[in-house]
Amino acid sequence: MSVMSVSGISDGTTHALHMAINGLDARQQAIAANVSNLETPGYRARIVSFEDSLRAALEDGDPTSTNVSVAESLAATRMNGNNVNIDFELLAEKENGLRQRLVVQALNGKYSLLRTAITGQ
Amino acid sequence: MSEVFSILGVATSGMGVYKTWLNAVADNVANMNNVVRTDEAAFQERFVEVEPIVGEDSLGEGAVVSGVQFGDPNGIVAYEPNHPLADEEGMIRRPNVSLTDQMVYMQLAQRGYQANVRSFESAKEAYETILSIGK
Repeated sequence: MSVMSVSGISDGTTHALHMAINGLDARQQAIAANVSNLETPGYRARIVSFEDSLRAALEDGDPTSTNVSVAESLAATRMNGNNVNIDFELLAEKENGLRQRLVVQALNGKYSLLRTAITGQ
Repeated sequence: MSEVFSILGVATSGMGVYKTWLNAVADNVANMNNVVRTDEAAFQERFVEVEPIVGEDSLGEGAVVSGVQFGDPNGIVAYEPNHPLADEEGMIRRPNVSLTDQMVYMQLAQRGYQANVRSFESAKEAYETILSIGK
């Protein structure tokens, strides 16, 4: 896989992780919006996806071309035309938080390598 | 995403909506036994109207109270000849507010509020994670 290199600090890895944080942040916002519209009549839950696009972008060698897409949930609606599922949202919220920590840890690992290279310690 | 830490605002908008709903329910319950003369309008049940806030990026930016609707002003006319407000035929007017409905709405509003508080906390944790980049 070819990796794009912009400068000595940023490379394909940091760009990919940056895109992942962007996508996870968008998902967090969608979840918060879904929870705040838990009982809003006619509201359809929003679902954010970026993983497939990130994978494709990585395969093309340019992670910065990742798209974050938002779709409306097709789940069955309740009587008031709303289809927010609180179980699903809480689960997605937790999972999203853990993924975010994972990405940040990977980014920190990358930066600590760089720091070692810079300071020689 | 319009501003830094905007998700906290999304969760807060939800808390505001459910708090308004709880207020309306409390008001309905507080006034559910208001008896009036038959030539006056009965207390009207308060219904909160909510709509989603849609941002530029279609992610959604929360919910907002867009208005209020009022219930039936005719209420229920009942026969209580000994009531001081009764008319010549012994009729009085009381609000058409169902306590059962209000209890259900109260539960929904309370759970909705709690869910948004959780959403706020998890957004805060997520931001704390992001702020730890480079440590």
